[in-house]
Amino acid sequence: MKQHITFPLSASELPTHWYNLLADFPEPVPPPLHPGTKQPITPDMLEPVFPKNLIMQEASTERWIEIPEPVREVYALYRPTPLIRAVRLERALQTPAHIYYKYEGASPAGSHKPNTAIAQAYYNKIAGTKRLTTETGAGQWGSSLAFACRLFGLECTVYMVRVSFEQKPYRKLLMQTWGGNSLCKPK
Amino acid sequence: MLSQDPNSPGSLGIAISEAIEDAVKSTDAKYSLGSVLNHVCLHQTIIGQEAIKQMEMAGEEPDVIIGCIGGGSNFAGLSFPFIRKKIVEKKPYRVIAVEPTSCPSVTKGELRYDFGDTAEMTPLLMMYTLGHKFMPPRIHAGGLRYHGMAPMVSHCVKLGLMEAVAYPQTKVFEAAVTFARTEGIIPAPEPAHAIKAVIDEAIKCREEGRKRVILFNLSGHGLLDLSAYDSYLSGKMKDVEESN
Repeated sequence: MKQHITFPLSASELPTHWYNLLADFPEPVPPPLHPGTKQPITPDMLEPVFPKNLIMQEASTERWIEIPEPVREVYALYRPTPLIRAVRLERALQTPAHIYYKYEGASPAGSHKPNTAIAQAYYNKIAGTKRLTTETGAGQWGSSLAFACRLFGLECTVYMVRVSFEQKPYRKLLMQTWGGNSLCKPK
Repeated sequence: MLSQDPNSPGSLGIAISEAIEDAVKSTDAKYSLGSVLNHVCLHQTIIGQEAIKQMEMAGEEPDVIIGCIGGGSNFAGLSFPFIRKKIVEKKPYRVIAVEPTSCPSVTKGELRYDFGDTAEMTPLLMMYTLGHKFMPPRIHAGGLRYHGMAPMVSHCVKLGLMEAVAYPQTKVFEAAVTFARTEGIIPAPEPAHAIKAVIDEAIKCREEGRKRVILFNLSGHGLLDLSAYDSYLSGKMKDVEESN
């Protein structure tokens, strides 16, 4: 008898909203502080760095935030991602446990990072941003942002941590393949 | 930093500062962060929401939910929709975050206000931190080399909604190879940390004779991290403890 080990969702079952845990915490998270005054920061302080729409989202305590349709359309390139039962691992460990994994490696960049890269590129695009800057550790985030920026027509500058730049040369090539304008600056 | 120590491996904390400075100086450029912040954790909840529906299809509820943590976003993505059920429906899920012993922000860090970056350009965030001047050792899981932790994830730890464990990289890669040789997928070094915790939980189940349902986030594949596997398989990989 064949055992179901994958549990695929259809494209129409792609979630329509993101979930904000800030709405359900029994006590609030202490706010970010200005280092000089030690007072809670105000939204205008972040404007040199982030677009207004993401600043508002950062502070929001709305429980469900609608995923914009252009973002859902890009998510649909690779989502919903697989949920798989690891029966072979269970057998190898001789365990009565049932092990399931959510596989985010199914995205074009190979990780979960595009889930936010795509959203951030979209919100920046509609806010009038022309270029995004970022840093990357293993290179997975920089690659994902380069991918998302290419889809929304933004330039992308990536500052890569030196040891990863040396350890993971293919990440730089991924960024260049997608971005054209992505730069790797070893630090 | 390089003029002081040309062999400095650098860290996410330093690179964040350079990227922010670039955005601040430019009129049409903005900065984008891949983890830590609330809106990033928000976007990642698409993972957990899909997983809830898929576990329903499988006809099982998780007992244990596991993910690796660097800045916290993939862990938040899977766990936050389930943590909502813990809070609202009183579900008895155990939620476990896994980090490297060489960068143990939650298991060895302090919950306090700290800068998100090394050059002190970000606001102060209330989070588990090893201090913003902490230089993580050169482990292969580059995505986990961050001194801090998402404030929302830190808050979950503080409220007792989750727990954290840490493992050294040789044990992590042993687990990664076990997974690759059974399930086929070669994991990225980062989620291999979660796999190590999953295997330990599964072995506990075997020893106790108990079935538990374990759900984890395999947040990425390792096909671009094969140099890490080379290091492990050739016996060169060493465990590195936190340096300061």
